[in-house]
Amino acid sequence: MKTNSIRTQKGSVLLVALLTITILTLICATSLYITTQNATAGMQTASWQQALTGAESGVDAAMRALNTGVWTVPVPSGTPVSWLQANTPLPTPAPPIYLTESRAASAATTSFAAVSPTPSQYPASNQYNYLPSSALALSVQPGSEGATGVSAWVTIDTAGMSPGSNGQWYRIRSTGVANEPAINRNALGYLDLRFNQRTHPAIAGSGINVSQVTRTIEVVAQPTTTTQSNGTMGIVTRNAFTVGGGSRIDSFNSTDTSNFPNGQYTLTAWQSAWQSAQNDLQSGNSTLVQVGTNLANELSGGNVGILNSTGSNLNNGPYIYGSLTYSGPALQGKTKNIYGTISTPFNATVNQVSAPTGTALPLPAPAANGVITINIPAGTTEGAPVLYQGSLPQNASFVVNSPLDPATHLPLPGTAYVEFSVTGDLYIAGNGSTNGTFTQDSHVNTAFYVQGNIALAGGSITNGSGLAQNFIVYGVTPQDGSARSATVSGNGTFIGVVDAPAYDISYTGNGNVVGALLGNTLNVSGNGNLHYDEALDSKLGFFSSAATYSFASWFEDTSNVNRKAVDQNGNYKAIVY
Amino acid sequence: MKIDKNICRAFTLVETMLSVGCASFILAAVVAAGVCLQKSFAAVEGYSNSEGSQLRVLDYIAMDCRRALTVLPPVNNTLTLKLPVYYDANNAPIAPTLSGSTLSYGNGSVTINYKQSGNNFTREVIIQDSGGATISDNTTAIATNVSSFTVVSATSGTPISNVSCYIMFFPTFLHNTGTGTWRSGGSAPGGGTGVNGDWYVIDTTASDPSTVGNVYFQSGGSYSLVENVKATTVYCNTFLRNAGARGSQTLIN
Repeated sequence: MKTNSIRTQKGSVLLVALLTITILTLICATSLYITTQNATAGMQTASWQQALTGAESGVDAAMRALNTGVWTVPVPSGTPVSWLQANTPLPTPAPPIYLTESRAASAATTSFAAVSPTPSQYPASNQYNYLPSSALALSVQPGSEGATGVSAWVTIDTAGMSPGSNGQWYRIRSTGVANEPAINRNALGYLDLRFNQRTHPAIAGSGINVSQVTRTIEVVAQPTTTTQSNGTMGIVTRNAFTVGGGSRIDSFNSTDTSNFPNGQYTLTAWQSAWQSAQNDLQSGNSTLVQVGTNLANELSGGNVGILNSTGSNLNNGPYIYGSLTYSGPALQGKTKNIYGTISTPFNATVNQVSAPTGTALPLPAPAANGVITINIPAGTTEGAPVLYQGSLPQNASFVVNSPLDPATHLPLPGTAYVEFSVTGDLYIAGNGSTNGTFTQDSHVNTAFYVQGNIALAGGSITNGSGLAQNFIVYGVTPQDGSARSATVSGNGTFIGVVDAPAYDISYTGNGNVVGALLGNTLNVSGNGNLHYDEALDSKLGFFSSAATYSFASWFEDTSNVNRKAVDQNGNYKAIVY
Repeated sequence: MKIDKNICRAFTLVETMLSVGCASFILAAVVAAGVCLQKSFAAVEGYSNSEGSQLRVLDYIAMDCRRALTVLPPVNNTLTLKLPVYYDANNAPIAPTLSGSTLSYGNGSVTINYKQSGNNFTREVIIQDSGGATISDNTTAIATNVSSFTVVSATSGTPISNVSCYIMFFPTFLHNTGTGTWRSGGSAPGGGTGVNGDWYVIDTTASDPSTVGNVYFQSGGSYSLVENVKATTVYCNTFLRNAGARGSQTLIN
């Protein structure tokens, strides 16, 4: 009996101990469950994003290679970035993905023995230039938590696209792969983007059985600046470009008289044409869509190029219906109102301006009323204009007339060309008819080559044709490197071009510019707008350029047959869209 | 021996009361722990489900917005995106073609619709040929337990360059639903809404943003405010900077 009593007491202790242990076990299990759930979700999230980061890194490498032109040059194996070229199409499914750097290097050698020793400018559509994952591999110390490796495989090809007006377009395909060591869990039973893990053997055919996540991006890169010898933009600066107000930069084409009567820009006409383009684009009719695309391109070509963006500031953000391309540090200010692309670098060399050579006539002295009258002789051409040279008194006013028909006393048909080589300053910013004004009739094409400073006011200049290409002011680049300044001011519209790569241009007032501006720096402090006339494309040569590429399209390819998702019934199916 | 037997055979009153007290305490602790564990499990499961749904929704919307050509003006809180026709009939990628400055993939159109359907959040993929005939129309529920989905265009006119999406989930991981139904709306519920035991949350359609997330519980025929829960709204501000360039300048579908 005594023994039984003692057993009963011991049994109570055991019961309490078991209950306690059970409770503690449940608490531990709960903690582990919570931890596992969170860890799994964290792993999947991290791997999913890391794979995308890897793919985007591959795209970045490809864009850099396109912009620097190194991608067509085979680099000896073993160098950090080695673009290789295959004369044969990549195997299907392409691209293959390799886990380690050593494997990638050997596989690249063995799989693509027919590497072309001679780079070609534009590979055929079935040729690839590829950057193996060894060049874009990030390895974490083995055994560490989280994804232990991220890499990417990148190819560049033309996809059969013929070169466009600015050069060759390219297709970039980049696949990022991230190891995903956590166990795949599908507790929710829903289609989930992340449930696309594949083991490495499933991807590469052999290797370590490590779960991986892959994401593939296809990008089409378009050259945003011309590869021709002479390029033009609405605004080009060699250094800082600053905008203080809410200026608007857009484009039109003065030869498009159906949308812009007489080739003249008005905001109403632009808006009407823009709406028409949008309607066409949304019509669903392929012919109209093409028309709308072309019109939208015409209206959104107010491009800006900055060679060195140091000190540039967009402040509150100008409305740029065009693309912005720059080299240097990231732009300060707001870019939200830029309709087109923002890309870097701006691979261009600005053409310096020299004073014209050849036989020059002396500039006539002003008449008693202070007006210099130029009557252009007959027979001038764009390549053989009449040239005047000399210095100008400040506030000198010009009247330039085209040659007249001796019989009818009417202007001769065609265009008369005149150039002025001004050895001092040019000041056409007066307020009256005889106080620093310029007037030319509709048949005159004038070019000033100014060696001093420049001051222009839109209201003081009458460009009879209304076409920017007929009034161009060149700022001659000083041989001694000294500074020059140019101002465009007033509230009237300046129809013309300022091409002054060594000049610091100050654009003040509320007047608009119809044409283009090129300077060392450009500071827009007023509320004036710039409307680039695309008819200048074939008239000016602001810069020489290698192509700068920007994104024309971006698409994440989810169609890989090996990449499958689990639907709500637990069945696997390929992801499409 | 006899003394020992007497000691073992019975507890004194004090011993009995102490034993009962200790036993009750232990049992109460066990029951409380069990209830807490159940709540914890339910909360963790609800949290995981909600987090998974939120992440999945964000993944899908982010991916589609990045590759979209255009975003159509929101109608009935439906986010509609236009994608290029990237795949052929065999679901293989189509090589891009360039005509002038116009880049294109396949003919036809691909439309993605995100919208709320009951308590589900669905993703609809409509593929049409160049004649406008529907080739396929698949709708998949990518999240459940959704109380509201709101799409707001942050810019006027077309093309739209900025849209904001608000997806609100019922906060079930904080409040055990029991057998009650989760309801939602833009203002405080009246007594005629639902039955006792139902939950109600102020969703993102509320005119007063400060009330979004207020959770009510109906008891005795009327709702009373429980607390405000802010953590269940997924905000997705989609910035399509190059919408115009994508939609009109370079790509058509």
